[in-house]
Amino acid sequence: MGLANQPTPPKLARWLLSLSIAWKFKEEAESDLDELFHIRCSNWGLRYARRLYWQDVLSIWVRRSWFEELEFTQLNFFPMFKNYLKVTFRALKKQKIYTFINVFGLAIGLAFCALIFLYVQDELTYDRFHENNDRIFRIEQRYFGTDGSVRFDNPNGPIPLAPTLKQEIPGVEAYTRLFRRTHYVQVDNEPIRESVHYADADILKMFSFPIISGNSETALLNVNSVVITEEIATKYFGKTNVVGETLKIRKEEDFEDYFVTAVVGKSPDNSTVKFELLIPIQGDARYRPPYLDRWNMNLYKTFIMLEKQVDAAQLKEPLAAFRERHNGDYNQVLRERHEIPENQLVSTYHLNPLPEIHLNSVSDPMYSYILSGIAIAILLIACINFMTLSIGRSSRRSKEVGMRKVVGAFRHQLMFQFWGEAFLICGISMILGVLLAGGFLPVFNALSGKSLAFNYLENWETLVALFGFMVLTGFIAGSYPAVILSGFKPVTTLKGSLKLSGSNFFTKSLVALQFALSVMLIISTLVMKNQLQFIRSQDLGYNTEHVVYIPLNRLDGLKIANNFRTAIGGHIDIVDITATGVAVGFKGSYGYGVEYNGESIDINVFTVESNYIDFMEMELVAGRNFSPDLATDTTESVIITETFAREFGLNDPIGKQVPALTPGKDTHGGAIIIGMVKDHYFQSLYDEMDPAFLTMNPAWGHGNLLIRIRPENMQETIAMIKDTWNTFVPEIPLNYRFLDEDMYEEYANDERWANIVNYSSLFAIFIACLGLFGLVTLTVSSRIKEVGIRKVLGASVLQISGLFAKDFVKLVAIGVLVASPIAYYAMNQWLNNFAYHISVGIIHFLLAAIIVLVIALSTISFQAIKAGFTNPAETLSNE
Amino acid sequence: MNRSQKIGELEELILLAIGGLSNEAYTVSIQQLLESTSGRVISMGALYTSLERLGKKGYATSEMSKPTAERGGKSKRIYKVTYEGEQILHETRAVRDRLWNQFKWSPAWG
Repeated sequence: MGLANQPTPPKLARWLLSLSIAWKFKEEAESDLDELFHIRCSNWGLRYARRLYWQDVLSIWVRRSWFEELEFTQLNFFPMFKNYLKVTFRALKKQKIYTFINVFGLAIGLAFCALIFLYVQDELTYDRFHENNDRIFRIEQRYFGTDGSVRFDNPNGPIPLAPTLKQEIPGVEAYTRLFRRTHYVQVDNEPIRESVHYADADILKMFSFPIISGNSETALLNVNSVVITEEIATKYFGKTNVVGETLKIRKEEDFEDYFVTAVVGKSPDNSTVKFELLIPIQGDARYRPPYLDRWNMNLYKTFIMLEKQVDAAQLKEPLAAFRERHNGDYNQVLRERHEIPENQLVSTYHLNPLPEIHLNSVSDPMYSYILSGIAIAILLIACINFMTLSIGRSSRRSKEVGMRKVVGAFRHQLMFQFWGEAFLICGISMILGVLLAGGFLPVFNALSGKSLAFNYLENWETLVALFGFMVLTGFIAGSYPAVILSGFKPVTTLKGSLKLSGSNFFTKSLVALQFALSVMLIISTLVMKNQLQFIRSQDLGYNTEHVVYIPLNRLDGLKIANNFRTAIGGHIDIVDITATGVAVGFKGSYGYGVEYNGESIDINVFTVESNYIDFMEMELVAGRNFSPDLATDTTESVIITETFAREFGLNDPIGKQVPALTPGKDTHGGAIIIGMVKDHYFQSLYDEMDPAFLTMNPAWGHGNLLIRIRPENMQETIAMIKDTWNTFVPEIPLNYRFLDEDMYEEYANDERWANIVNYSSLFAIFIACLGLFGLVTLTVSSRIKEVGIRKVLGASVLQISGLFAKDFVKLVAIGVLVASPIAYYAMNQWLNNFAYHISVGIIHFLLAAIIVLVIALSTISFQAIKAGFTNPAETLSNE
Repeated sequence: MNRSQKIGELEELILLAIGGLSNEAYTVSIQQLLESTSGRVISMGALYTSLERLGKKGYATSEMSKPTAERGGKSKRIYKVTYEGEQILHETRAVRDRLWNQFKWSPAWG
């Protein structure tokens, strides 16, 4: 026995066996199994011996845990359990502050986790409720670059795309094109602006919208039919059973009658395709020749549903060929422009699977990651509180541990006790957390722009996740006391020779980590707020204050503007009135995409009136303004921006023809540049400024009315505008907004994120400070004798307070140092979304550091100062 | 000691094996004996559980032997059948005998 080349039992099984802590037969079993192994080895061979060794180990494991252990502790198992509970509750009650800090902190952390779980779940299950989600695809135009990488995807497609695809590519079962417009809708009451979707009849077959009444098969066959949601039905008819009723929609100049053919339930919020009113696409103004077979006008979104057995991957090549067949000319242009080699694809039609559309192109999965990160950070901070406070109190608990061990407790029983305590606290926190989450939910919905709801009965995943969070938190939070405290030797703890006053390295690094996390969130808050403020205060190059903005929806802007000028133009509270094509400050203005000297340049066109530059308070830097008296100015003159001159390399633009546009073919081709305005941010600050020019040419329509009013008597002025509107356009109610309000809607998404980060950092620093408060209280109480002696020896209050503050200030400083580079990196990533942005500066870090220091110091100060004022006679007398 | 404690089949076999091994009855030898006589491979988990039960019911006792060289200097637990253990074996045997005597052997099976 014991020779080196002797076969040995399987290591893993052996290790498994050695794990049977505190089992009566453990020692015996090891040598028994060894002996058996050797007997079997010599009798039956190694393989058999090893197999039976495993079998034995497993059988021991299975039986031991269920029978032996229970019988073994049968005598005092349940009474001990009762004792654990009693001791736990006593400890909780005796130290109310710590209990509060732990429970409250964990509850907030868990509430955050619950909310963010809902958010992420919503994001990940987008469109999953559509039964056919695995075979519905959105057809997108995918453009490749010179190196074969994807340049960009255009989700819109030409009108003939879907029907042609069904004819030419086998396996396409159904299709729908989808397009949204805003129209006035009327029953008997005042017309209301609604968003109206145009679609093909198959849409109701492809997507699983719950039909309440009507026939989904035939609902959209007639060009005058409309499918509406329950909400719309209730809004206009006061009831939902409205199939056959008439609804007026003003698509063009007049209201047309539509017959309700079906009513559908509200579509879930996490559906990419949503509608309120749905009418056949055949009714759209563009759905007529010559657009019907134009392949170069991308207007409608196109969804197709494949037949069940068709594999989408197999359609890749047919689709590329299809693209070349129908968009070959454009492919050729692009191939030359981007110098794409002959053997590479220029563009293709790409199938974007429905369940992936949301995360691929609408929302950024990054948001889910960031939110999860924030939730985990906050939960971690709360867990660290639990741990550091346990460590701080461990000198008290260690006596209990020693006592229990002396009277015969095994280590695993103590582990059971401490982890049990952690789970109990987590359980209480969880209940509180769920209540808190319910309370936060409306706020969170407002912040995240979703409408989530806790539905524990239907959404069992939430329950599972909550339970999982609880177990995980309990496990992490309880790990220190369970693993370390239970390992103490009774002799050292009872003699009191164990040093554990909350000042060890582990505690310190945990506290530093907490502050690092808090500081990261605070720096992010500061940078985000600063950037958004930068956007608001940016000199846009024009004045948007007190401008009433009225979208006209296909009314003649010039006529209305003239009517308004005659009626109220002279009023003291009206500063100026003008009609314009596109209002400034929005993404995606109208314009041209042109080729110039081998570069593709987007030109934005603003259709204006002659008073526009004065109205917007823009600055003319060269040439002259439009003149209302010159007839030629109406069609043959433009005013360019500085960027325009720069991009097209015009040194002396005045008097020259507009470059890159062809006279006769392009509406503004051949026009003469008569002036140049200073650059102004007509787009949002996410984008680089594009070249632009102003024109008075009415061909593209003056679709908006702008009225600048004086800030005084705003109420009356608006009422007056309303009256005037009603005299000239009695059939449509006035719909107005303020230009500056509207402009900031572009940034609403980032405002929301800034707010979420802001609130999170508040909670993070709050929980961290709760922990700090607990910790400093512990430290002070454990060093109170030292304080007494120091005072006797002549220390001042300030010195004593400084003694305690110093340690924690150091930790906060370390936290700031750790957090800064990470926050710097993360914030630069975010700022890159904006073409015009601030830079993350030392000021942000300093400010965050000062904020955290001040908060931390004021948390500490109460206890530290109290310690400074203690009477040494009191603390030293009892020994 | 509660006399009405029932005894299972495996427990009975183990008890018999202990008796048969007299002073050499420890886990490995019990296991080996049962394996060679009955052909059944009894897992150690089952063996420990049964031995523990037999001890609880008072049918077997055990004590540690002196450390032996063959087990790498470790001692082994030697089992003995108690008076109650022998009684219950008798009882079980008696019940079986009575039933055996009443058994009507079918002539058809020879």
